[in-house]
Amino acid sequence: MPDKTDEVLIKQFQEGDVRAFNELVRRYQERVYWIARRIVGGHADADDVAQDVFIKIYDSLKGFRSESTFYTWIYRVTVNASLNLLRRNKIRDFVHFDEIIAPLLSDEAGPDEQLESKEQKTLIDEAIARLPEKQRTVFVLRYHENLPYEEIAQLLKRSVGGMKANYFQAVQKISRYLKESQ
Amino acid sequence: MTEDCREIRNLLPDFLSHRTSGEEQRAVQDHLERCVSCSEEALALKETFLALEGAKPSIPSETYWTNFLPRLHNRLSEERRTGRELAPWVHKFLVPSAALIVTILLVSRIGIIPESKDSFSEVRQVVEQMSASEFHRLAETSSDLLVPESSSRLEAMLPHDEDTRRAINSLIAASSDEFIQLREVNLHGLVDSGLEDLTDEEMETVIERLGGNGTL
Repeated sequence: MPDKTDEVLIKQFQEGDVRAFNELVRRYQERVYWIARRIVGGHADADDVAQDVFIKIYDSLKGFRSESTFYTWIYRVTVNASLNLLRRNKIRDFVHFDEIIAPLLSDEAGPDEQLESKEQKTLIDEAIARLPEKQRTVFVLRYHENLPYEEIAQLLKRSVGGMKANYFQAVQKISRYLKESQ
Repeated sequence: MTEDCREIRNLLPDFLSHRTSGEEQRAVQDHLERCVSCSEEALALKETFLALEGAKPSIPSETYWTNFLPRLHNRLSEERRTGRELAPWVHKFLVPSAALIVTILLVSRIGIIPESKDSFSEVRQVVEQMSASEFHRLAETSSDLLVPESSSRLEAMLPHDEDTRRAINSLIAASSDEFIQLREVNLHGLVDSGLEDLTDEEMETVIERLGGNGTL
């Protein structure tokens, strides 16, 4: 079903065709995963969020009305699910062993540049993990997803000006963290 | 730092990643030519963007994506099998009502709202009359309430619990301004309750629906 629009697939699912839901999952699974991954930080949590998002979509899609686009809706559900997981786990208050500490302790030998790059990535992960959740979300949606501020503001129910300020503050904090850590 | 500097700094990340409009780009360039402090900030941020571009996250394997859908269907089947899905009436009434009650309890804990006459049944009636979307918004972020045990507890709490009754009465007695002020209080409970996510317009609608005449 490569050419069908989201609206057509939703209608088919609402009429009982589960294959249409499968197509929607395949279409959006990577996007949902990466939004979650960049907000929550680790693969396992991002996987949990992504699965939860599609379960919620499955349960709610029957009643979905096209007041907003499916794409906007799925963004909103993913961001909310990621933020809820952050709140539950208080991820920003601790460092992931598997993704941050473990690479530093790894015996795996490699060229200096590789090590440097790995350390740099670790620092960036730490810097992003320390951002307040709103700034982190705005950073992910703007930097990684390249969403216009108007859409981010709509998703997070905030002003466009506030989103620009949040994005600047996020980048500034990452910058300062990198500087202080080097 | 001037107001001009603040505005320009908010544009810096987009300027450095070539996402500003022509007009914004000229404004930033003009400003950076005459402001040392903002130029230094821009330089620091530029290095950060270079570092960000160089740091690629580990990518899940192809198998992960292939298995994603089968795992999802396994979970859906498992949830259906274990009966974790809630009955439709729970989604339609109990969960949103529970979210509202919890919100009220959290609000009353802050102690800003005065107490007043008993109007529990009146509020309950209004709650029942709220639109599905209003319910949905209140319930959306209260995912913990979707746990059946919590819902049962809250169901039992609705008609009997004195604290709930008192909290609802307090809410009725509060003015719109007081209620709006509560939104500014950055408590995790309020954030989790979903109130924080409502726009001013949505909030006014809720207040209006609760009070009928603009007051709670």
